[in-house]
Amino acid sequence: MPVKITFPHAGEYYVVFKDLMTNLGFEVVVPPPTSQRTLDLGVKYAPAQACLPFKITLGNLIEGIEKGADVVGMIGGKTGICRLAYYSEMYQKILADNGYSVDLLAVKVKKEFWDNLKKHQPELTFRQFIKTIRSFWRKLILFELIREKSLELRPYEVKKGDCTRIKRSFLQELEQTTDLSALKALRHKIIKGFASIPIDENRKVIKIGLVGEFFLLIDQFSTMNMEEFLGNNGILLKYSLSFSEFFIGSLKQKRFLDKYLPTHNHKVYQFAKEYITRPIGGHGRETIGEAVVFRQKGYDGVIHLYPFSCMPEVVAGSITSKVSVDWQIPILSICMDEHTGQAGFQTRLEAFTDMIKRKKFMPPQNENDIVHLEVSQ
Amino acid sequence: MGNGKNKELPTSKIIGIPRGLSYYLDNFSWESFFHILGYEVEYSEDSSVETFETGNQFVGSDQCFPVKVYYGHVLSLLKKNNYIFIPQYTSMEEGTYCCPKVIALPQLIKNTIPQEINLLTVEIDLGREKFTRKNIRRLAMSLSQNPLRIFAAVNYFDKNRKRLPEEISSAEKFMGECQSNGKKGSIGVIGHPYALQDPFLNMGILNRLKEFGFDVVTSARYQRSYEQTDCPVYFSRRKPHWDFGRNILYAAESMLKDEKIQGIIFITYFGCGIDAFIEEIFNDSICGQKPYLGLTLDEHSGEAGLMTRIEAFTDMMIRKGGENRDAG
Repeated sequence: MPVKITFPHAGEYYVVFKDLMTNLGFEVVVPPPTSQRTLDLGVKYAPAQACLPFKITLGNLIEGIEKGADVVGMIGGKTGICRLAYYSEMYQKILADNGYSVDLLAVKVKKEFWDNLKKHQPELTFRQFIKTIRSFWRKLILFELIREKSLELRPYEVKKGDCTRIKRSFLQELEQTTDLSALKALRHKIIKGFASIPIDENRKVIKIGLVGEFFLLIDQFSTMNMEEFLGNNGILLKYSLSFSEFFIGSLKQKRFLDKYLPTHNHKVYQFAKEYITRPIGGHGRETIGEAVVFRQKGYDGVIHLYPFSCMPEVVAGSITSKVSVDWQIPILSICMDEHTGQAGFQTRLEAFTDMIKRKKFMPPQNENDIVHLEVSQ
Repeated sequence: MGNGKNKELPTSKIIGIPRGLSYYLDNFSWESFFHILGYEVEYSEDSSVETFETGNQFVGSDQCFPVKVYYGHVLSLLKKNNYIFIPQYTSMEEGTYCCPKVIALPQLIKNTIPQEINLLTVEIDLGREKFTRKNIRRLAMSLSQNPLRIFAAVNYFDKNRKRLPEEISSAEKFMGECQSNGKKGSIGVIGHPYALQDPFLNMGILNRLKEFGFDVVTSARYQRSYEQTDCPVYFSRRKPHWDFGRNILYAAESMLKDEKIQGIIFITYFGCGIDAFIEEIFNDSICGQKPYLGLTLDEHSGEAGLMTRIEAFTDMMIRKGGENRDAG
C-alpha cells in the first residue's frame, strides 16, 4: 500500500510539490484549499503566540490528515535562528497530543532528506530520485515564471481578470505535464500566452517591491488576495523571494559564493550591512537589503509584510523607518495575524499606494518635501 | 593608554553600560575589562516606570517589554554620556543562538534612536573561540593604544569568559539568596535571565514570594545545559536551538523531578517568540504533576491583578501540599 503524504499549501505551490511527491512514489493527499476553517483549526491547536504561518500550515496538515494521510511533508531544517527550525518538533508534539499519529518528512536540500525518504520508500533508486528532482526544479521555475508574468501584466490588462484566467489555465496545464521535454515546450507557450493578453501601455502604473516573511509573500490567503487587489489598482508587484531561491539559499555553497562574488544576494547583504551586520534569522537581513535594492532598481515603494511575533522581522520592521529616510523610499510595514481584517488591511494598502501615486504623478510644489512614512500598529 | 594622540580613541573616559537584556546573560565582568583598558564604567539606574516611558517613544510597538525597557536604559545613559557599550551576544555555546532581538540589539538601538550614539559593540559567539577573541582584540585596540593593556584585557577575557552559571549541589540551591526560612515550601521560577534579575521586569514577583514565606529557586540556578549533563531529554523533544530555550526546558525538567519544589511559575513576556513554543512543550507535562502558573507580562500588566493570581496560586499549592490544610 502506498504511503499517503500531505503537505501544507503555500500559495499555489502545491502544484509543484504534488508532482514531486507523486514521482517519489507517494500517494498525495492535497489538503483542501486554505479556508477560514484551516485557520480556525490552526488557532485552536497552536500556541497562542505562534506565528501566522505556523497556524495556517498546522491547519492545512490537520485537514490533510483528516483526508487520510499518514505522513506529512514540511519545509524546514534543524538549523537557523528563527522558529522555523523548531516547527517540525512542534508539529509532532501538537499532532501527537491531539491524537493524529503521523510521521514527518522534512523537505530540504540536505542529505537528510534522502535518508528520510529511503525510510518511507525503500525501493527508490538514486537515479530516479535525481530525475525527479530535475523535473521538480524545472516545474518550480515554470511556476514562478507564470506567477511573475501575471504580476507584471495585471496592472496593464485591458480586460480585468485576463491575467488571473490565463494564470489559472497554465497552472492546470503545469499540473498535468510531467514529461521533461513537454515542460520545455510549455515554457514557450507560457511566454506566448501572456504576450497575447491585450494591454494598455499608457496606464500610469507604479512599481512596488514586496519584502518580508517568506510565507506571507507566497500565500494569498493570509494576505487576503493582496496580489490581485493591488494588481487591479494599477500596481506592479515584485517579490523579493521565491521558493527556488529559498531552496538554493539553504545551500552552503551558495552562501560561500554570495560572500565573494557579485551575486544578487551579495549586493543585498552589502546594503544591509549598514543596518544589520550579521544574519539574525529568517529573512530579517534580506528584508533590509532588498528594500534598498528595490530603490536602486527604481521602484516607487516597498511593502514589508510580517506575521505578528516573528522575531527577525520585528527587528527589521523597526529598522525600516530608518532605511526609508536614508534611501528616500516609502516603506509600509504591516504586521499580520489571524485577526487582521480585510477592509482595514486594504485601506492601508490603498492609502499607501495613493500617496505614492500622488507623489509620482503630481509632483509637489516644494521639491524638498521628504515623504517619510511612520507606521505603527 | 588613550592619551588623546589618536583621534579615534574615545574622548570620554567613561563608558555606559545599560542594565538590561544582554547585561544579565553572562557573568563576565565588563567593568574589570574596561578598567584594564583604562576606562570607568557607568551603569544605568534601576529600571522604573520612567525608564520604560522614555524608552517607549522610540520602540516599535510589537517589540517585547524587556526591549522597551532596554531603550529606556540606553536613553538615560545618553543624557550624561554618549559612549555606550552593548555587547552583541549571538551564541552562548556551540550550535545555539540567542533570540534574534538580542542578536541584533546594537544595530536595533543604533538605527532606531535618532540621537547620535557612539556605540561600542563586540560580537560574542562563545561557540567560536577564535572569532570571539579576534573581535575582543579589535575592541580593545579601538579603546587603547597601550599594547600591554590590550594584551591584559584580551587575556582577562580569555580567562573569565566561561564563567557561566555552574551547576550547584541541590542542598545549596535552597540555601543562597533566600532570606526567609521557607517554612511554607519552595517555588521554582522559570524565565529568561533578565526576567529573573530585574525586579521591575518581573513586577517584583520574586520578592513577593519571599515575603509570603516561600523559598524561591530560579532557573538561573540550573546549569546552562551542556552536552555531558545527564539530563539531555528535554521532555523527550529535540534540543531547542536557542540558549534561553535550552535553559528554560532544562530547568523546567529538573524542577519537575525535584521533589522539594512544590510549584512552578513561568514568567514570559507578550510577544516573546521563543517562549511561545517552549511553553507549549512543557506546560502539559507540568500541569499533570505540579501546580503550575504561566504568567505573560507586558507593560499593561496591573500589579493588583498579578498579586491576586499569585496568591491564588500559592494558596492552591499549600492546599495541595496537604501539610497546611488550614492555610488560605
